[in-house]
Amino acid sequence: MLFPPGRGAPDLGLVQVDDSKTVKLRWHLDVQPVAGTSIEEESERLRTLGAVDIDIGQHDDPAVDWIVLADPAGNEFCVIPPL
Amino acid sequence: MSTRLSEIVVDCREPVAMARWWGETLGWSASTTGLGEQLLRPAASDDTTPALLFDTVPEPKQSKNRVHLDLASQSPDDQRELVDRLVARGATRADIGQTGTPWVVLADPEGNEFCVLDRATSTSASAGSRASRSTPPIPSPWRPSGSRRPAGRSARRIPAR
Repeated sequence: MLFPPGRGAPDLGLVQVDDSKTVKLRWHLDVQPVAGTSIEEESERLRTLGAVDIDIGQHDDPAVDWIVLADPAGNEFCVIPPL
Repeated sequence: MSTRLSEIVVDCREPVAMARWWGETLGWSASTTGLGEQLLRPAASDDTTPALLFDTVPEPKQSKNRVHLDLASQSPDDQRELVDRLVARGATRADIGQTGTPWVVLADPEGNEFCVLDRATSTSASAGSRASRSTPPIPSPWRPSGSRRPAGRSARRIPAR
């Protein structure tokens, strides 16, 4: 379990399962760098932690201004621009 | 340095209906983003819980979700009442192999599995797990203090192929 600091926010539980990931996640996480950090900078930090770039067609959509990565287990997530 | 969990993005067929259902379930308010998605936010006083963002995809749900929500309750009695209310509103009981678990596995109107716990927090409940969940939780901050609420303009989604 990952617990956020403070109270109220949901925990994030990581559960071992037997089945393999076969399709794009239907529910995924968006993460947002803290103010003053760009999505490129944050994505580079996440890559050093093991995230990888993935192409799920986002480059075909001009509205996409976020970066799509996958965690070490292949789970897609987005790094969205800071406020 | 860390990053904050801004939102959980849900691919669905009917985002408006899904946002309405989950909004009523959680007591959250829905709005439409500039990209036409449905954004559910917790109460304004809650600046830590990530939002839920519902977007449209053409493909149907194909397999058990690898990311799901756990809903809290206050007690086993409260859990039973909550499950009954959710089922009355369109949730269905989901059999994903769980047996004898203290949590109840349901599916929302689009078939997305979620769990209703018999307690307020969980270190031992999740859909689909047959693994032992008795490992003590290890505190690990993953959100910096001082982060701001997610903004409506932050709506993002993984586009469908």
